[in-house]
Amino acid sequence: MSIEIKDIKKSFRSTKALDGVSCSFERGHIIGLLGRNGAGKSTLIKCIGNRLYQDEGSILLDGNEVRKSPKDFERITIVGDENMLPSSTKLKNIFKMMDDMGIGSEEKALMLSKKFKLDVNKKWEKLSTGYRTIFKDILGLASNREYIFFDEPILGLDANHRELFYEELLASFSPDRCFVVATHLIEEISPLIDKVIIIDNGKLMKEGDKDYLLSKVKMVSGEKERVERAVEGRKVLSRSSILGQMKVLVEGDVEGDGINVENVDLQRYFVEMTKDGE
Amino acid sequence: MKKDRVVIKDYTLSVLSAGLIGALIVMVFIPVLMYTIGRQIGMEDLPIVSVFFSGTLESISVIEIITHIVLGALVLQYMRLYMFMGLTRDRAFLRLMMVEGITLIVTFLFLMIIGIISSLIAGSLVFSSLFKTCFYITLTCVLAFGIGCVSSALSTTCRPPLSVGVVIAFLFAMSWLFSKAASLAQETIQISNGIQIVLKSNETSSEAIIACIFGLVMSLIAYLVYKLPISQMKSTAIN
Repeated sequence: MSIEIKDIKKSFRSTKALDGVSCSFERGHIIGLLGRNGAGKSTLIKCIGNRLYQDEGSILLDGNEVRKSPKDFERITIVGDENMLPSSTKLKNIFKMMDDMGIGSEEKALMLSKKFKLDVNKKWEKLSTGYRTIFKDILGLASNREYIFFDEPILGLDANHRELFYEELLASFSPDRCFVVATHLIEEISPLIDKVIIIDNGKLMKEGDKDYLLSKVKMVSGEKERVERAVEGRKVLSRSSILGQMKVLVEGDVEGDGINVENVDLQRYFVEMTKDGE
Repeated sequence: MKKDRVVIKDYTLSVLSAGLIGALIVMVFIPVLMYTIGRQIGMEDLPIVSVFFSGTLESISVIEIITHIVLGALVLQYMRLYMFMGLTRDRAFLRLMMVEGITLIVTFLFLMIIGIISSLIAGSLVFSSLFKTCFYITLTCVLAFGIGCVSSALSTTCRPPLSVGVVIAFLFAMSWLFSKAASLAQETIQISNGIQIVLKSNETSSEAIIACIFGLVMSLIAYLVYKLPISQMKSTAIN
């Protein structure tokens, strides 16, 4: 029970937005889709949501091509970063339509609107940036579909609203569903997610269980020579040095005299993994 | 139908509100204005009511046709909404065509009501003629919708200003074809002695039918454009 992305490629003229990305989104997980600006996260989500066509590769849901299978496409909800709604329609009518189409609960959407203090009598075009994000988040949270993709769900939200979103995200989650959150606020989202997919420059950099990935890497710092000696023969994921001091992210346990060996959090891991692309 | 009630409401309300505003202007505001001006300049016996009300239907039909162009241009927005609701591009497009079909029926009924009211006031109600006129205007609305629809679809294939250029070029080509087809329809083609094809017996009806066919062709082209690999459904393509 998963969405399988197989060797997807998508270019915009000379820019390769996705360059052979393969990964999977399984039910029972809250997945963090991480990447720097322009890494290809939104493009990948838009391809899954049929907003964009990939140049090559396939997107399969339980073995069926999503684009060609209306029944499978109905199992996915995409809450994108784009303006996807008619500007002159009242918000409550969109909730009503969601209920009519059977993709979610109007009652739950209205309840969430109260919590977020969203005026449902307003039209989309009259909303501020933050409330546009809130409205889209509510659509995602009130959806009853199996696979929900949130692209930048906390864009423009204040700290209180972000907290509320995280609470509601966890409350809406169940083992037969899959939530995918693409965001830059890694530190905040880290406690919620259990799987990470890191994309950089249109390529898949890392995919796996968050705790497992973090348990396998260590940050080693100290004098350059000592650090280099300590990590010799090990897989170095990133390295930086200044004034004779060195910092290395390395796979596996490291021991040695005069060096610091630390665990890394997801944000540090992400920064170290993606900074070579600079 | 229940699933589409929000979109149907949006579409039909657009047609009705535009028509009602048009009716208010043509049937109330302008006659009152002309009557007031007439009184001011001492011409109190101007035939204001009969003159203005006899042209009401035609005036409002222009507003309805423009509204259908706008509704066609909104197809992309509503397709994205349907796609958010879990429909594929094909299904989203076909659903909108169904909604537009209902909107055309509403347009026809609205024009009939306006036509009956204005004809009664003007004093010359010929029901069969009114029915035909409203039917032809509704067929012309199909062309208007097709124009909006295809321009919206073409805008998904490339970004402005190129998309604007493509749309303008396409519309020029289609309007040229339409004028050719309409003028051709006014002719009788002589194939040989004694054999001739009469392409047009009634001017208004054949032009309206050609308009409807062009509208349907344009909608079909829009559908095919949405299926093209270069067709982007991102909001940036049009907004």
